[in-house]
Amino acid sequence: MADWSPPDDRTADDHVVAVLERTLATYAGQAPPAVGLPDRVHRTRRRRTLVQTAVGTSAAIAVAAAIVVPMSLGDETESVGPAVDAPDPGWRWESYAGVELQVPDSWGTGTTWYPWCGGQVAKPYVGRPIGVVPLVACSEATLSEAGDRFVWFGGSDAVGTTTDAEGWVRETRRLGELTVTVQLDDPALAERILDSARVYDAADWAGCAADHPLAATSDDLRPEVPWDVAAGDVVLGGTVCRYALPEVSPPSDGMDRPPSHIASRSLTAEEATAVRDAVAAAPTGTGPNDPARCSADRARGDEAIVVKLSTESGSRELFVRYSGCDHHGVDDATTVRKLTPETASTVFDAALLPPLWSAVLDDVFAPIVGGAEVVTVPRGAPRPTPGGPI
Amino acid sequence: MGAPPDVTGRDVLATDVPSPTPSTETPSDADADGARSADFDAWLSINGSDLLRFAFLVLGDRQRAEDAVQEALARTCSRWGRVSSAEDPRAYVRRMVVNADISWWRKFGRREHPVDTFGRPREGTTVDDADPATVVTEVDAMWRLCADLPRRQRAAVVLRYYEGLPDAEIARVLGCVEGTVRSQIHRALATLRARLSEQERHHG
Repeated sequence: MADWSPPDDRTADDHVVAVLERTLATYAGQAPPAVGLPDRVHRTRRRRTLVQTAVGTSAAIAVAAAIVVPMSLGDETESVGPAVDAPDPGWRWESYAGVELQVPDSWGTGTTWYPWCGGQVAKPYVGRPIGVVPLVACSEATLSEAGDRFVWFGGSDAVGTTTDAEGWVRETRRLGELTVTVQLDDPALAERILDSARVYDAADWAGCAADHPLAATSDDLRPEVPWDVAAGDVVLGGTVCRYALPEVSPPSDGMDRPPSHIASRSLTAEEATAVRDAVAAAPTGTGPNDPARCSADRARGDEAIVVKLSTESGSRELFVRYSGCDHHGVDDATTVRKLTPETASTVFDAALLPPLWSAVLDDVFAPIVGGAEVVTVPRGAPRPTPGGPI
Repeated sequence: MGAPPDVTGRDVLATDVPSPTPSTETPSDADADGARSADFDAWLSINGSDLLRFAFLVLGDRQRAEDAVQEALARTCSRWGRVSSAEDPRAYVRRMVVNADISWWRKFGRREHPVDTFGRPREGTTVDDADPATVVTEVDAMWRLCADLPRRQRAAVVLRYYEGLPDAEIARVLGCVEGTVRSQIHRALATLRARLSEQERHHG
């Protein structure tokens, strides 16, 4: 077979670009015409109007069953739909405290500083400095002897790179105030992961901000714009944002508290609608609670979740409380509803699950499959390669 | 790697609440709405064709392109006053097209009419003096290869190589930083180069 080479003296890139430009110019001619577009746009807009009423001259005419009354929205903001930054095929985004990066989609999630001797990790994972680690003291080991593959947010390594003769690499970079550490036996993969890292503030890949007013206080706080999740607003998509609440006794080292964002999840229209339906169907009132299990200042626990739903009326928030021992439930700033297994199954995925929860919530969280958690196997058992089958 | 880039925040705009009944509108409200609509229609008459071409090149399907542009423009019309004063409306609409969610369309019960997706070019579309058969084959192959690119890579490529936008403008449309734009385009070209080469060797 003949090797492909571009014609004349142009470089391969020039030729590819030339063909690409020619292709786009050619096919642009096949685009649908704009004839009648203004009429179609205005018909679409009229079809999307939510409220229709009819009033007779001498008697009120019954309002049609599917009426939705627009609320006074004030100066609120509207999302035009989830502005999700799609990852490369076979990869996914992970974000924490103002830094986000991409990892192969097969990787699990776990805890930063997980000790190599605490149990052999069965698959590569993304670690966050939140969670439980075995209280073990590991002896010195080379990278290949330890043999764990991970990305850690917020590890304590100094910036730099360590390698060994077996081809393992452990590299730490600093982005903003956070370090990211990769340890792999694939230097090219490690570089690709680190090169994908970037900082965020107003919005990460899924639309979650690095900080949220919910995370600024352990006191009661409700969504800014009251709405009624049971009103049946059409939901176009959504985002789930997990945040850390302030510590009861923050360290007095004079350092600013890092951004509170922990993890994100993007919701399709179906998934967001399922969240809406599950919350709307839940009984009113807070719970399940067990206030006897903790002090009042720890009642709301360490973390909470903001669910942002894109509706036709605008962006709406739900605050989901599940940490600590009291005040559990879902709040739309009009009604608080209990946290049910159905609600939890629509909101939480593996990256969003808290490391611990009150026993009173066992029935809520237990059914959620934790397939992406760090799984340890007996030392010596075969392990998959990064990105391979688990 | 350079300095860590900032991620552009999401675009959020206030919504115009539709009036529940026409009789509650004041004359000044109606005049303002009329003026905004006329202004929007005038803008649409100039930019509608370009937006449909952009949507078709990114989405690869005439029906999807029409649906995406119609929905995006309907939303844009609803908040025209804020959109037109806050940013370039074309970037706003293009962003919605790039982010259009197929499941959203299904929620509204849209029926997707089967059309030729990334079909063959029409006859007589060669544009230079190279062998017409070779040009048509390359164009056909490239169009099909573009279909396999991730949508944001395809959008970045269309914005640079069809719209001719600078990276800063592309970044505004895609809601990312310029470095990401260059990275997306680099990856797209690498993929297209490799697959074109592979196809040529297979047929050579």
